[in-house]
Amino acid sequence: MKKFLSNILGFFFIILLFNFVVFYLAKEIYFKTYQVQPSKKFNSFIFADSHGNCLYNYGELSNCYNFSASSDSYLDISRKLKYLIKNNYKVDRVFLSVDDHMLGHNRFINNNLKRSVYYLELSEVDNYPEYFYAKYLHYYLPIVNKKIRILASKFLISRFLFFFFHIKNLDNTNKWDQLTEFEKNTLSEKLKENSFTENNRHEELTKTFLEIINICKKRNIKLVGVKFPLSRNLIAAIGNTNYGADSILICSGFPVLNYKHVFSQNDDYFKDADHLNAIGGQILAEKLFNQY
Amino acid sequence: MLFNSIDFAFFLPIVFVLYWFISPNNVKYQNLLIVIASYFFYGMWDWRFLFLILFSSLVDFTVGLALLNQEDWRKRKLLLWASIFINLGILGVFKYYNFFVQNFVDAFSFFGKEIEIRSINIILPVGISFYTFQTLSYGFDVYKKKLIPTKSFIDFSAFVSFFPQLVAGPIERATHLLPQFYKKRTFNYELASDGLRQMLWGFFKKIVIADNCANLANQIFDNYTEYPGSALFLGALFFTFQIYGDFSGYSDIAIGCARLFGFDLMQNFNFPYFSRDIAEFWRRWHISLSTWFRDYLYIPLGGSKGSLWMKIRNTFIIFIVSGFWHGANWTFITWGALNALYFLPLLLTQRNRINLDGIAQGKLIPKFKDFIAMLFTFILTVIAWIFFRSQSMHQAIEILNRIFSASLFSNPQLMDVRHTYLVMFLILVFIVFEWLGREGKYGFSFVMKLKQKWMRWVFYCFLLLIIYLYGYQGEAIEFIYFQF
Repeated sequence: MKKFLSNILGFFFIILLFNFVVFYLAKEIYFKTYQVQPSKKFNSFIFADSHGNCLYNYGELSNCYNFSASSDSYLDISRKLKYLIKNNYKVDRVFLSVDDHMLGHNRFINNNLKRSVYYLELSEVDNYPEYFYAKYLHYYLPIVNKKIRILASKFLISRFLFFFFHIKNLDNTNKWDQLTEFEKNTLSEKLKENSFTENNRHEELTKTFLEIINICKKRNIKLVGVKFPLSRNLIAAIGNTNYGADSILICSGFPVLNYKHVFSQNDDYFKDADHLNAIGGQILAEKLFNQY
Repeated sequence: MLFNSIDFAFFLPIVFVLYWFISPNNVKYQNLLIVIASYFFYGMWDWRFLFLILFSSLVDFTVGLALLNQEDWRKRKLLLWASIFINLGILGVFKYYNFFVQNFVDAFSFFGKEIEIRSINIILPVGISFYTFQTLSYGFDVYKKKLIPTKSFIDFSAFVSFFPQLVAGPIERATHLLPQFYKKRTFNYELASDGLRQMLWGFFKKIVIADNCANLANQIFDNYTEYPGSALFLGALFFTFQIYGDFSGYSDIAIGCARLFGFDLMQNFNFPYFSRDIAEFWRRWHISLSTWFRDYLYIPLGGSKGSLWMKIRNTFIIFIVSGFWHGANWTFITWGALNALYFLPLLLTQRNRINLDGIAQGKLIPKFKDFIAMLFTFILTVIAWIFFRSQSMHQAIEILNRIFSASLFSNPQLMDVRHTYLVMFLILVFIVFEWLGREGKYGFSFVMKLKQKWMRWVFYCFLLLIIYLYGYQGEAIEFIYFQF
């Protein structure tokens, strides 16, 4: 039995070692860029999912910090907003994405809760085990984190291919404006199918969205909804499908800046069907910050 | 509880520690612990059906005891029939009632008479076919006086509900497994470490091979009208590896897990895709079920003795019943009948027992003749699996129509080509490992040939890394055979 147990321990030691490697990898490629603390000089904040990434730091001259992150849902945004308030940031204005898909089930499934737990205080949770699980277990034991597993897998495969075959990029896709019309339509249809899986809004997301609106109302924060630009192929694919975050915001008395169609004739401003490239992002930033 | 779940990762070490460290020399305590752990294991899925296992155990335990003191053959027969009736009755209600009702209604409507019989809306209890057959084997063996019935209900319950093989086998014979519950178990390092190795291989088969193949096979089978013959053939190939990886992976985990507790379960798969004819395939595929049918159905029917007509009849009966055991659908019955058809030429030419030895024994590469025979047998099984996987006969026939058309040579037009290539590469690695380990009891056993311990550990780490990197990244998928 002793020999068996020492082998088991050896086995766990190897797993722990591997976990250690994945931990540093995860920290570099997953957590580091997300878990940031904005400077206190900012008084405006942009909250969006990957649609907001194109704005980079273009708003910093206007004292506006881009707090957007790929896959951020209203649940993550709510955590970030509460964190800012709790840590005495001067939050005067919030630009909040109210894109058609923001209240969809897919946005809920693909969220950042494992990362945005960084902004969550223990005092705000009812369920301590869940908090502990997300804040510590998933962070220090990343091999049990499914998302990190996928990212680590992609990262290691790309390094392997580069090392042995000098293949640089796994996703050898063309730029959006270089794709054929058929390819653009196919990708847009696929994106629509993924983003709008259910007919109804996601209940928890809607509840949190209303909570964000209430927080802004209570604290006199100027809340501005933003609908980010989409390519014409995606606009055609989506049609009238919309989970209606924009209309909820308008009904609550807040303005919405609708840029959805603004670049529909400029494929060269897009890097894919629903994300602007750096040039497109810069032009959008000019429009946004000139208006506000 | 699924083997490939986080729950099991906690459950197994806890049971292991309780089993070996608290009162390790007390067989009664260990058996009781096995019963409690097994009921907990099963109850995690649906506790209501624990009563069914308990009832089934009680029936056969009582029948066993009654048979012990009964010398009158007529009464013995009556007791056996009572056990058969109750066990198959439960199985019939839960698994086959709706099938028979539907076919009865269809048959009447075919002759112009509309009748109305209500179908029942019930869940099929996980593993019911497995533990029912296991308890039936106890009744048969006690009846035939091959086994002295146990007087301990705890021992018998442990035999029926032994958690490693409770929900998907191997279907153990009472003569093999039950006596192991009487003996004092001492921890055996070789047995336990080999068990862990076999479990690791089972997880690789399930998580890397079966689940990735399932993803692709489902995509193709669920949208079969949109794919050309080439893609459908690929889909059938993926399902062929899915079902093998899934079921034999489960068996490896079950056997390995039992070894940790000092038990020896029978081998359930013996590299079936390296078979040179269908008869050999059936000697290597789901061995515990095949031998069950052989011993308790085929031989009582007369087996291969008697006239040619009797041999053919018995062959068809055993294959069709085997198909029906898998599920209440004509697709399974056709799958069974098709295998009987494959088997028939071998039976008629008396060539069904020519490939009894292992393939290319002691050699790395098989003879060309053997390789062609292996390939041919493999393709036959791929075709048969199409019936097994299809939802209906119409779907199976449509898929075969498309495969046997010019579109077999067209571009498969798969959605995710890179992922498909990756899965094909993993299958290739899997086949190589299986080939290297074909003379052992499971594919990964070839590492034991390596003399250096560190080299074996390199392979363990390699397998772990592959499981981590390429293991299916969606939700944990249930084992296919849970539904049978």
